[in-house]
Amino acid sequence: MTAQPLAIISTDFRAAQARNKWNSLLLCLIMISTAMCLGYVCGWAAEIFTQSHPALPEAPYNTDIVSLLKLSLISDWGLSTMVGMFVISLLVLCWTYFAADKTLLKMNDAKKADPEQYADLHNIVEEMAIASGLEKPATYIIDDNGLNAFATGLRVENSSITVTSGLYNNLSRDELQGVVAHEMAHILNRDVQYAVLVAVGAGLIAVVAEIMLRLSRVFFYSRSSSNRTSSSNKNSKSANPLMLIAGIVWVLAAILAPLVAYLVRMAISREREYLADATAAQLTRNPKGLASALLKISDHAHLKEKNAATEHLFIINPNRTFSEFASNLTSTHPATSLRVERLMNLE
Amino acid sequence: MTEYFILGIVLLTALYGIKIYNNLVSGRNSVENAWRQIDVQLKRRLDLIPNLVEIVKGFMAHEKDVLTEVTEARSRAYNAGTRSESIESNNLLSNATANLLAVMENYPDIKSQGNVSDLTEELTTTENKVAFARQHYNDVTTNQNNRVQQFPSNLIASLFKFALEDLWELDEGTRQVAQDAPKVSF
Repeated sequence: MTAQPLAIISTDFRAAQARNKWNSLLLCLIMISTAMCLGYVCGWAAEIFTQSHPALPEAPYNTDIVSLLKLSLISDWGLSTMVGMFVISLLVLCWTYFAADKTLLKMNDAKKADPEQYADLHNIVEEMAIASGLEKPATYIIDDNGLNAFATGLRVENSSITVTSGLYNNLSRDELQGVVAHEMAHILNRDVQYAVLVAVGAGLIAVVAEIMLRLSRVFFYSRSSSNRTSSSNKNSKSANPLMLIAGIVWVLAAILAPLVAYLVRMAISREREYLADATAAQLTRNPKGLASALLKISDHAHLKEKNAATEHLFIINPNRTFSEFASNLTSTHPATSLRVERLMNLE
Repeated sequence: MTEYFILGIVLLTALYGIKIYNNLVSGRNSVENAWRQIDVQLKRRLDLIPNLVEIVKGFMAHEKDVLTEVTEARSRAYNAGTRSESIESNNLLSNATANLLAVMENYPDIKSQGNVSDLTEELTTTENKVAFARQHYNDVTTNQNNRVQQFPSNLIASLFKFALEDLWELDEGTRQVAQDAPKVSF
Protein backbone atom coordinates (compact mmCIF):
# COMPACT_ATOMS: atom_id res chain seq x y z
CA MET A 1 0.00 0.00 0.00
CA THR A 2 1.24 3.48 -0.78
CA ALA A 3 1.10 6.35 1.65
CA GLN A 4 -2.04 8.44 1.35
CA PRO A 5 -1.40 11.93 2.62
CA LEU A 6 -4.90 13.07 1.70
CA ALA A 7 -6.67 10.25 3.51
CA ILE A 8 -7.02 12.16 6.78
CA ILE A 9 -8.45 15.26 5.21
CA SER A 10 -10.88 13.43 2.98
CA THR A 11 -12.63 11.46 5.73
CA ASP A 12 -16.14 12.75 5.34
CA PHE A 13 -18.15 12.82 8.60
CA ARG A 14 -21.38 13.88 6.98
CA ALA A 15 -21.35 11.06 4.43
CA ALA A 16 -20.51 8.56 7.16
CA GLN A 17 -23.34 9.87 9.34
CA ALA A 18 -25.85 9.76 6.50
CA ARG A 19 -24.77 6.24 5.58
CA ASN A 20 -25.04 5.08 9.17
CA LYS A 21 -28.48 6.60 9.65
CA TRP A 22 -29.65 4.72 6.57
CA ASN A 23 -27.95 1.54 7.77
CA SER A 24 -29.59 1.83 11.20
CA LEU A 25 -33.00 2.17 9.56
CA LEU A 26 -32.33 -0.79 7.27
CA LEU A 27 -31.09 -2.78 10.24
CA CYS A 28 -34.28 -2.05 12.21
CA LEU A 29 -36.37 -3.19 9.23
CA ILE A 30 -34.36 -6.40 8.76
CA MET A 31 -34.47 -7.21 12.47
CA ILE A 32 -38.20 -6.50 12.74
CA SER A 33 -39.07 -8.54 9.64
CA THR A 34 -36.88 -11.42 10.81
CA ALA A 35 -38.65 -11.34 14.16
CA MET A 36 -42.03 -11.24 12.39
CA CYS A 37 -41.16 -14.22 10.14
CA LEU A 38 -40.04 -16.10 13.21
CA GLY A 39 -43.33 -15.21 14.94
CA TYR A 40 -45.42 -16.39 12.00
CA VAL A 41 -43.59 -19.72 11.78
CA CYS A 42 -44.08 -20.18 15.52
CA GLY A 43 -47.82 -19.58 15.37
CA TRP A 44 -48.33 -21.61 12.23
CA ALA A 45 -46.43 -24.64 13.51
CA ALA A 46 -48.16 -24.46 16.88
CA GLU A 47 -51.58 -24.36 15.23
CA ILE A 48 -50.79 -27.45 13.16
CA PHE A 49 -49.24 -29.22 16.10
CA THR A 50 -52.26 -28.73 18.33
CA GLN A 51 -54.45 -29.67 15.36
CA SER A 52 -56.58 -26.61 15.84
CA HIS A 53 -56.24 -25.31 12.28
CA PRO A 54 -59.84 -25.00 10.97
CA ALA A 55 -58.95 -26.12 7.42
CA LEU A 56 -57.50 -29.49 8.41
CA PRO A 57 -60.54 -31.42 9.75
CA GLU A 58 -62.54 -30.37 6.69
CA ALA A 59 -59.92 -31.73 4.28
CA PRO A 60 -60.81 -35.00 2.53
CA TYR A 61 -59.16 -38.14 3.83
CA ASN A 62 -56.80 -38.68 0.90
CA THR A 63 -55.66 -35.09 0.33
CA ASP A 64 -51.96 -35.04 -0.58
CA ILE A 65 -49.41 -33.17 1.50
CA VAL A 66 -48.87 -30.24 -0.89
CA SER A 67 -52.51 -29.24 -0.97
CA LEU A 68 -52.72 -29.74 2.78
CA LEU A 69 -49.84 -27.27 3.13
CA LYS A 70 -51.62 -24.85 0.82
CA LEU A 71 -54.79 -25.20 2.86
CA SER A 72 -53.06 -24.52 6.15
CA LEU A 73 -50.69 -21.82 4.93
CA ILE A 74 -52.84 -18.97 6.12
CA SER A 75 -52.92 -19.40 9.86
CA ASP A 76 -54.77 -17.23 12.34
CA TRP A 77 -52.37 -18.19 15.09
CA GLY A 78 -49.44 -17.33 12.82
CA LEU A 79 -50.89 -13.91 12.03
CA SER A 80 -51.53 -13.11 15.66
CA THR A 81 -48.04 -14.19 16.81
CA MET A 82 -46.59 -12.17 13.92
CA VAL A 83 -48.41 -9.08 15.12
CA GLY A 84 -47.30 -9.96 18.64
CA MET A 85 -43.65 -10.12 17.58
CA PHE A 86 -44.04 -6.81 15.72
CA VAL A 87 -45.40 -5.13 18.85
CA ILE A 88 -42.67 -6.68 21.01
CA SER A 89 -39.95 -5.53 18.57
CA LEU A 90 -41.34 -2.00 18.59
CA LEU A 91 -41.45 -2.00 22.39
CA VAL A 92 -37.87 -3.30 22.54
CA LEU A 93 -36.73 -0.64 20.07
CA CYS A 94 -38.42 2.07 22.14
CA TRP A 95 -36.83 0.72 25.28
CA THR A 96 -33.47 0.65 23.48
CA TYR A 97 -33.85 4.24 22.41
CA PHE A 98 -34.66 5.53 25.87
CA ALA A 99 -33.04 3.22 28.42
CA ALA A 100 -30.47 0.87 26.85
CA ASP A 101 -27.48 3.15 27.48
CA LYS A 102 -27.88 3.03 31.24
CA THR A 103 -28.36 -0.74 31.16
CA LEU A 104 -25.22 -1.21 29.07
CA LEU A 105 -23.20 0.87 31.51
CA LYS A 106 -24.62 -1.04 34.45
CA MET A 107 -24.00 -4.41 32.78
CA ASN A 108 -20.33 -3.52 32.48
CA ASP A 109 -20.08 -2.10 36.03
CA ALA A 110 -19.14 1.39 34.87
CA LYS A 111 -18.95 4.19 37.45
CA LYS A 112 -18.78 7.94 36.88
CA ALA A 113 -15.13 9.05 36.71
CA ASP A 114 -14.29 11.34 39.61
CA PRO A 115 -13.44 14.82 38.24
CA GLU A 116 -10.64 15.29 40.80
CA GLN A 117 -9.00 11.88 40.60
CA TYR A 118 -9.35 11.54 36.84
CA ALA A 119 -8.86 15.21 35.98
CA ASP A 120 -6.64 14.47 32.98
CA LEU A 121 -9.11 11.91 31.59
CA HIS A 122 -11.86 14.52 31.82
CA ASN A 123 -9.54 17.03 30.13
CA ILE A 124 -8.76 14.62 27.29
CA VAL A 125 -12.44 13.84 26.73
CA GLU A 126 -13.18 17.56 26.66
CA GLU A 127 -10.34 18.19 24.20
CA MET A 128 -11.71 15.56 21.84
CA ALA A 129 -15.23 16.93 22.23
CA ILE A 130 -13.88 20.33 21.19
CA ALA A 131 -12.00 18.82 18.22
CA SER A 132 -15.16 17.09 16.99
CA GLY A 133 -17.50 19.98 17.78
CA LEU A 134 -19.75 17.92 20.06
CA GLU A 135 -20.89 18.35 23.65
CA LYS A 136 -18.58 16.71 26.18
CA PRO A 137 -19.87 13.17 26.77
CA ALA A 138 -20.19 11.77 30.31
CA THR A 139 -17.04 9.93 31.37
CA TYR A 140 -17.12 6.53 33.08
CA ILE A 141 -14.51 4.22 34.58
CA ILE A 142 -14.64 0.42 34.84
CA ASP A 143 -12.51 -0.87 37.68
CA ASP A 144 -10.65 -3.56 35.74
CA ASN A 145 -7.00 -4.23 34.97
CA GLY A 146 -7.81 -5.18 31.37
CA LEU A 147 -7.16 -2.44 28.81
CA ASN A 148 -10.32 -1.48 26.99
CA ALA A 149 -12.78 1.31 26.24
CA PHE A 150 -16.22 1.80 24.74
CA ALA A 151 -18.75 4.47 23.88
CA THR A 152 -22.53 4.45 24.29
CA GLY A 153 -25.29 6.90 23.49
CA LEU A 154 -28.21 6.38 21.13
CA ARG A 155 -28.72 10.10 21.02
CA VAL A 156 -25.61 12.16 20.45
CA GLU A 157 -26.52 14.58 23.23
CA ASN A 158 -26.45 11.98 26.01
CA SER A 159 -23.55 9.87 24.90
CA SER A 160 -20.79 8.63 27.17
CA ILE A 161 -17.25 7.29 26.99
CA THR A 162 -16.03 4.52 29.29
CA VAL A 163 -12.45 3.39 29.85
CA THR A 164 -11.08 0.72 32.19
CA SER A 165 -8.84 1.78 35.06
CA GLY A 166 -6.15 -0.47 33.54
CA LEU A 167 -6.24 1.60 30.37
CA TYR A 168 -6.09 4.83 32.33
CA ASN A 169 -3.08 3.69 34.34
CA ASN A 170 -1.02 2.10 31.57
CA LEU A 171 -1.32 4.50 28.66
CA SER A 172 0.55 7.74 28.05
CA ARG A 173 -1.44 10.93 27.54
CA ASP A 174 -1.07 10.79 23.74
CA GLU A 175 -2.20 7.16 23.64
CA LEU A 176 -5.17 7.80 25.91
CA GLN A 177 -6.08 10.73 23.67
CA GLY A 178 -6.00 8.41 20.63
CA VAL A 179 -8.33 5.91 22.31
CA VAL A 180 -10.75 8.61 23.46
CA ALA A 181 -10.66 10.07 19.92
CA HIS A 182 -11.58 6.65 18.51
CA GLU A 183 -14.57 6.44 20.85
CA MET A 184 -15.53 10.02 20.03
CA ALA A 185 -15.39 9.06 16.34
CA HIS A 186 -17.93 6.29 17.01
CA ILE A 187 -20.24 8.86 18.59
CA LEU A 188 -19.62 11.37 15.78
CA ASN A 189 -20.26 8.80 13.03
CA ARG A 190 -23.44 7.53 14.76
CA ASP A 191 -21.88 4.06 15.08
CA VAL A 192 -23.08 3.74 18.64
CA GLN A 193 -26.73 3.91 17.63
CA TYR A 194 -26.16 1.10 15.17
CA ALA A 195 -24.11 -1.00 17.58
CA VAL A 196 -26.69 -0.79 20.38
CA LEU A 197 -29.56 -1.60 18.00
CA VAL A 198 -27.60 -4.62 16.79
CA ALA A 199 -26.89 -5.77 20.33
CA VAL A 200 -30.53 -5.55 21.38
CA GLY A 201 -32.11 -6.83 18.13
CA ALA A 202 -29.77 -9.79 17.82
CA GLY A 203 -30.35 -10.55 21.50
CA LEU A 204 -34.14 -10.64 21.13
CA ILE A 205 -33.98 -12.90 18.07
CA ALA A 206 -31.44 -15.17 19.72
CA VAL A 207 -33.66 -15.63 22.79
CA VAL A 208 -36.77 -16.51 20.74
CA ALA A 209 -34.78 -18.89 18.50
CA GLU A 210 -33.27 -20.59 21.53
CA ILE A 211 -36.70 -21.22 23.04
CA MET A 212 -37.94 -22.60 19.70
CA LEU A 213 -34.98 -24.97 19.41
CA ARG A 214 -35.59 -26.35 22.89
CA LEU A 215 -39.29 -26.88 22.15
CA SER A 216 -38.60 -28.47 18.76
CA ARG A 217 -38.21 -32.02 20.02
CA VAL A 218 -41.91 -32.03 20.93
CA PHE A 219 -42.79 -32.26 17.21
CA PHE A 220 -40.71 -35.29 16.45
CA TYR A 221 -41.42 -37.04 19.73
CA SER A 222 -45.19 -36.69 19.46
CA ARG A 223 -45.10 -37.85 15.83
CA SER A 224 -43.75 -41.24 16.82
CA SER A 225 -46.05 -41.56 19.80
CA SER A 226 -49.15 -40.66 17.83
CA ASN A 227 -48.10 -43.13 15.13
CA ARG A 228 -48.78 -45.92 17.56
CA THR A 229 -52.35 -44.80 18.07
CA SER A 230 -52.92 -43.41 14.59
CA SER A 231 -55.39 -46.06 13.45
CA SER A 232 -57.91 -44.76 15.95
CA ASN A 233 -57.79 -41.20 14.68
CA LYS A 234 -58.50 -40.39 11.04
CA ASN A 235 -57.44 -36.77 11.15
CA SER A 236 -54.15 -37.25 12.90
CA LYS A 237 -53.08 -39.67 10.18
CA SER A 238 -53.35 -36.99 7.54
CA ALA A 239 -51.81 -34.39 9.84
CA ASN A 240 -48.72 -36.43 10.68
CA PRO A 241 -46.53 -35.75 7.62
CA LEU A 242 -47.73 -32.17 7.80
CA MET A 243 -46.62 -32.07 11.40
CA LEU A 244 -43.20 -33.36 10.35
CA ILE A 245 -42.89 -30.57 7.80
CA ALA A 246 -44.05 -28.02 10.38
CA GLY A 247 -41.37 -29.36 12.72
CA ILE A 248 -38.65 -29.03 10.08
CA VAL A 249 -39.70 -25.48 9.18
CA TRP A 250 -39.74 -24.64 12.90
CA VAL A 251 -36.18 -25.89 13.39
CA LEU A 252 -34.96 -24.22 10.18
CA ALA A 253 -36.44 -20.89 11.26
CA ALA A 254 -34.85 -21.22 14.68
CA ILE A 255 -31.45 -21.80 13.06
CA LEU A 256 -31.70 -19.27 10.22
CA ALA A 257 -33.06 -16.27 12.13
CA PRO A 258 -30.04 -15.84 14.46
CA LEU A 259 -27.82 -16.41 11.41
CA VAL A 260 -29.46 -13.48 9.63
CA ALA A 261 -28.99 -11.34 12.73
CA TYR A 262 -25.36 -12.48 12.95
CA LEU A 263 -24.60 -11.67 9.32
CA VAL A 264 -26.12 -8.20 9.57
CA ARG A 265 -23.98 -7.67 12.64
CA MET A 266 -20.75 -8.71 10.88
CA ALA A 267 -21.46 -6.91 7.62
CA ILE A 268 -20.72 -3.36 8.61
CA SER A 269 -19.05 -3.55 12.01
CA ARG A 270 -15.43 -3.93 10.84
CA GLU A 271 -15.58 -1.23 8.17
CA ARG A 272 -16.71 1.10 10.94
CA GLU A 273 -13.70 0.31 13.07
CA TYR A 274 -11.39 1.40 10.26
CA LEU A 275 -13.45 4.52 9.70
CA ALA A 276 -13.37 5.35 13.42
CA ASP A 277 -9.58 4.91 13.44
CA ALA A 278 -9.24 7.30 10.49
CA THR A 279 -11.60 9.79 12.12
CA ALA A 280 -9.62 9.56 15.36
CA ALA A 281 -6.47 10.40 13.41
CA GLN A 282 -8.24 13.38 11.92
CA LEU A 283 -9.38 14.59 15.34
CA THR A 284 -5.98 14.29 17.04
CA ARG A 285 -3.81 14.90 13.94
CA ASN A 286 -1.62 12.26 15.57
CA PRO A 287 -2.23 8.71 14.25
CA LYS A 288 0.81 7.40 16.14
CA GLY A 289 -0.88 7.89 19.53
CA LEU A 290 -3.77 5.58 18.65
CA ALA A 291 -1.49 3.12 16.82
CA SER A 292 0.78 2.62 19.82
CA ALA A 293 -2.26 2.45 22.13
CA LEU A 294 -3.76 -0.32 19.95
CA LEU A 295 -0.51 -2.28 20.14
CA LYS A 296 -0.47 -1.94 23.92
CA ILE A 297 -4.12 -2.86 24.32
CA SER A 298 -4.26 -5.79 21.91
CA ASP A 299 -2.68 -8.34 24.24
CA HIS A 300 -4.42 -7.15 27.39
CA ALA A 301 -7.95 -6.45 26.23
CA HIS A 302 -9.59 -9.25 28.25
CA LEU A 303 -12.00 -8.16 30.96
CA LYS A 304 -13.01 -9.99 34.12
CA GLU A 305 -16.67 -9.95 33.24
CA LYS A 306 -17.42 -11.45 29.86
CA ASN A 307 -20.46 -10.28 28.00
CA ALA A 308 -21.00 -11.42 24.42
CA ALA A 309 -23.84 -8.99 23.75
CA THR A 310 -21.70 -5.90 24.21
CA GLU A 311 -18.38 -7.12 22.80
CA HIS A 312 -18.56 -5.18 19.54
CA LEU A 313 -18.91 -1.89 21.42
CA PHE A 314 -15.36 -2.07 22.75
CA ILE A 315 -12.28 -0.64 21.02
CA ILE A 316 -10.78 -4.15 20.89
CA ASN A 317 -12.96 -7.22 21.32
CA PRO A 318 -12.57 -8.27 24.99
CA ASN A 319 -13.77 -11.87 24.44
CA ARG A 320 -11.64 -12.91 21.49
CA THR A 321 -9.84 -16.20 21.97
CA PHE A 322 -9.13 -17.53 18.46
CA SER A 323 -6.25 -16.66 16.12
CA GLU A 324 -6.07 -13.51 14.08
CA PHE A 325 -6.72 -15.40 10.86
CA ALA A 326 -9.92 -16.94 12.13
CA SER A 327 -10.97 -13.60 13.54
CA ASN A 328 -10.66 -12.14 10.06
CA LEU A 329 -13.66 -14.18 8.96
CA THR A 330 -15.93 -13.86 11.96
CA SER A 331 -14.76 -11.11 14.24
CA THR A 332 -16.55 -7.85 14.92
CA HIS A 333 -13.15 -6.09 14.84
CA PRO A 334 -10.35 -6.24 12.27
CA ALA A 335 -6.97 -7.60 13.33
CA THR A 336 -4.96 -5.05 15.31
CA SER A 337 -1.92 -5.36 13.00
CA LEU A 338 -4.08 -4.33 10.02
CA ARG A 339 -5.51 -1.38 11.92
CA VAL A 340 -2.06 -0.19 12.96
CA GLU A 341 -0.80 -0.58 9.38
CA ARG A 342 -3.64 1.53 8.03
CA LEU A 343 -3.09 4.18 10.70
CA MET A 344 0.60 4.46 9.93
CA ASN A 345 -0.23 4.85 6.24
CA LEU A 346 -2.22 7.96 7.04
CA GLU A 347 0.94 9.97 7.49
CA MET B 1 -47.48 14.25 -20.44
CA THR B 2 -44.43 16.34 -21.30
CA GLU B 3 -45.75 19.16 -19.10
CA TYR B 4 -45.76 16.86 -16.09
CA PHE B 5 -42.26 15.71 -16.96
CA ILE B 6 -40.96 19.28 -17.13
CA LEU B 7 -42.87 20.19 -13.97
CA GLY B 8 -41.25 17.24 -12.21
CA ILE B 9 -37.76 18.32 -13.25
CA VAL B 10 -38.39 21.91 -12.17
CA LEU B 11 -39.71 20.69 -8.81
CA LEU B 12 -36.70 18.42 -8.23
CA THR B 13 -34.29 21.22 -9.14
CA ALA B 14 -36.05 23.56 -6.73
CA LEU B 15 -35.88 20.99 -3.92
CA TYR B 16 -32.19 20.41 -4.63
CA GLY B 17 -31.59 24.18 -4.55
CA ILE B 18 -33.36 24.47 -1.18
CA LYS B 19 -31.23 21.65 0.21
CA ILE B 20 -28.02 23.37 -0.96
CA TYR B 21 -29.18 26.68 0.50
CA ASN B 22 -29.95 25.06 3.86
CA ASN B 23 -26.56 23.36 3.89
CA LEU B 24 -24.88 26.71 3.25
CA VAL B 25 -26.79 28.32 6.12
CA SER B 26 -26.00 25.53 8.57
CA GLY B 27 -22.38 25.63 7.42
CA ARG B 28 -22.19 29.37 8.15
CA ASN B 29 -23.71 28.81 11.58
CA SER B 30 -21.22 26.02 12.32
CA VAL B 31 -18.37 28.40 11.45
CA GLU B 32 -19.82 31.02 13.84
CA ASN B 33 -20.24 28.41 16.54
CA ALA B 34 -16.71 27.07 16.09
CA TRP B 35 -15.39 30.62 16.39
CA ARG B 36 -17.22 31.06 19.71
CA GLN B 37 -15.67 27.82 20.91
CA ILE B 38 -12.19 29.25 20.22
CA ASP B 39 -13.23 32.35 22.15
CA VAL B 40 -14.29 30.26 25.13
CA GLN B 41 -10.96 28.44 25.16
CA LEU B 42 -8.94 31.63 24.71
CA LYS B 43 -10.77 33.23 27.66
CA ARG B 44 -9.97 30.17 29.72
CA ARG B 45 -6.31 30.61 28.86
CA LEU B 46 -6.44 34.31 29.65
CA ASP B 47 -7.83 33.45 33.08
CA LEU B 48 -5.16 30.86 33.68
CA ILE B 49 -2.11 32.97 32.79
CA PRO B 50 -2.16 35.34 35.82
CA ASN B 51 -2.16 32.27 38.11
CA LEU B 52 0.73 30.76 36.20
CA VAL B 53 2.75 33.99 36.36
CA GLU B 54 1.98 34.24 40.08
CA ILE B 55 3.31 30.73 40.74
CA VAL B 56 6.55 31.05 38.79
CA LYS B 57 7.30 34.68 39.66
CA GLY B 58 9.08 33.85 42.91
CA PHE B 59 11.39 31.35 41.25
CA MET B 60 12.50 33.49 38.32
CA ALA B 61 12.74 36.99 39.65
CA HIS B 62 15.47 38.05 37.23
CA GLU B 63 13.56 36.88 34.13
CA LYS B 64 11.32 39.95 34.30
CA ASP B 65 11.42 40.42 30.49
CA VAL B 66 9.78 37.09 29.76
CA LEU B 67 7.11 37.60 32.41
CA THR B 68 6.33 41.13 31.27
CA GLU B 69 6.09 39.91 27.69
CA VAL B 70 3.51 37.33 28.72
CA THR B 71 1.54 39.82 30.81
CA GLU B 72 1.55 42.41 28.04
CA ALA B 73 0.59 39.91 25.34
CA ARG B 74 -2.20 38.76 27.61
CA SER B 75 -3.64 42.21 28.09
CA ARG B 76 -3.41 42.88 24.33
CA ALA B 77 -5.29 39.68 23.60
CA TYR B 78 -7.77 40.56 26.36
CA ASN B 79 -8.56 43.90 24.75
CA ALA B 80 -8.61 42.74 21.11
CA GLY B 81 -11.63 44.05 19.20
CA THR B 82 -11.81 42.63 15.68
CA ARG B 83 -11.40 39.05 14.60
CA SER B 84 -8.08 39.60 12.79
CA GLU B 85 -6.75 41.57 15.78
CA SER B 86 -7.74 38.73 18.07
CA ILE B 87 -6.02 36.14 15.84
CA GLU B 88 -2.83 38.20 15.80
CA SER B 89 -2.64 39.03 19.50
CA ASN B 90 -3.44 35.45 20.52
CA ASN B 91 -0.69 34.15 18.27
CA LEU B 92 1.64 36.59 20.05
CA LEU B 93 0.44 35.29 23.39
CA SER B 94 1.12 31.72 22.26
CA ASN B 95 4.66 32.78 21.43
CA ALA B 96 5.08 34.46 24.80
CA THR B 97 3.83 31.48 26.83
CA ALA B 98 6.01 29.15 24.75
CA ASN B 99 8.97 31.38 25.63
CA LEU B 100 8.04 31.33 29.29
CA LEU B 101 7.76 27.55 29.34
CA ALA B 102 11.14 27.27 27.64
CA VAL B 103 12.76 29.55 30.22
CA MET B 104 11.06 27.70 33.08
CA GLU B 105 13.00 24.60 32.06
CA ASN B 106 16.15 26.33 33.34
CA TYR B 107 14.69 26.48 36.84
CA PRO B 108 14.73 23.01 38.42
CA ASP B 109 13.49 24.60 41.69
CA ILE B 110 10.04 24.78 40.19
CA LYS B 111 9.97 20.98 40.23
CA SER B 112 9.84 21.03 44.02
CA GLN B 113 6.63 23.04 43.89
CA GLY B 114 3.82 20.89 45.35
CA ASN B 115 1.17 20.85 42.64
CA VAL B 116 3.46 21.09 39.63
CA SER B 117 2.08 18.00 37.93
CA ASP B 118 -1.41 19.50 38.23
CA LEU B 119 -0.02 22.65 36.70
CA THR B 120 1.64 20.73 33.85
CA GLU B 121 -1.62 18.94 33.09
CA GLU B 122 -3.53 22.22 33.28
CA LEU B 123 -1.12 23.91 30.86
CA THR B 124 -1.08 20.97 28.44
CA THR B 125 -4.84 20.70 28.34
CA THR B 126 -5.31 24.45 27.97
CA GLU B 127 -2.96 24.66 25.00
CA ASN B 128 -4.53 21.50 23.54
CA LYS B 129 -8.04 22.88 23.92
CA VAL B 130 -7.07 26.11 22.18
CA ALA B 131 -5.36 24.12 19.41
CA PHE B 132 -8.28 21.71 18.95
CA ALA B 133 -10.81 24.53 18.95
CA ARG B 134 -8.81 26.21 16.15
CA GLN B 135 -8.49 22.92 14.32
CA HIS B 136 -12.24 22.40 14.50
CA TYR B 137 -12.82 25.96 13.34
CA ASN B 138 -10.51 25.37 10.37
CA ASP B 139 -12.18 22.03 9.53
CA VAL B 140 -15.65 23.57 9.60
CA THR B 141 -14.47 26.64 7.69
CA THR B 142 -12.82 24.51 4.99
CA ASN B 143 -16.05 22.57 4.53
CA GLN B 144 -18.01 25.80 4.21
CA ASN B 145 -15.48 27.33 1.79
CA ASN B 146 -15.64 24.18 -0.32
CA ARG B 147 -19.39 24.55 -0.45
CA VAL B 148 -19.12 28.21 -1.44
CA GLN B 149 -16.61 27.50 -4.20
CA GLN B 150 -17.65 24.12 -5.61
CA PHE B 151 -20.17 23.56 -8.38
CA PRO B 152 -23.17 23.56 -8.18
CA SER B 153 -23.47 25.00 -4.67
CA ASN B 154 -21.38 28.03 -5.73
CA LEU B 155 -24.34 29.19 -7.88
CA ILE B 156 -26.64 29.38 -4.85
CA ALA B 157 -23.81 30.80 -2.73
CA SER B 158 -23.16 33.70 -5.11
CA LEU B 159 -26.90 34.31 -5.53
CA PHE B 160 -27.37 34.71 -1.75
CA LYS B 161 -23.96 36.32 -1.15
CA PHE B 162 -22.32 33.65 1.00
CA ALA B 163 -18.74 34.85 1.52
CA LEU B 164 -15.55 32.84 2.01
CA GLU B 165 -14.66 32.58 5.71
CA ASP B 166 -11.20 33.27 7.16
CA LEU B 167 -9.05 30.32 8.15
CA TRP B 168 -7.04 30.66 11.36
CA GLU B 169 -3.50 30.84 10.04
CA LEU B 170 -0.16 31.32 11.74
CA ASP B 171 1.89 34.37 10.82
CA GLU B 172 5.55 33.88 9.82
CA GLY B 173 6.95 34.55 13.31
CA THR B 174 4.58 32.13 15.02
CA ARG B 175 5.32 29.46 12.46
CA GLN B 176 9.04 29.85 13.14
CA VAL B 177 8.49 29.40 16.87
CA ALA B 178 6.07 26.53 16.36
CA GLN B 179 8.62 24.61 14.32
CA ASP B 180 11.08 24.45 17.19
CA ALA B 181 8.43 24.33 19.90
CA PRO B 182 9.82 23.83 23.40
CA LYS B 183 8.88 20.67 25.25
CA VAL B 184 6.87 21.31 28.38
CA SER B 185 8.50 19.37 31.18
CA PHE B 186 9.14 20.15 34.81
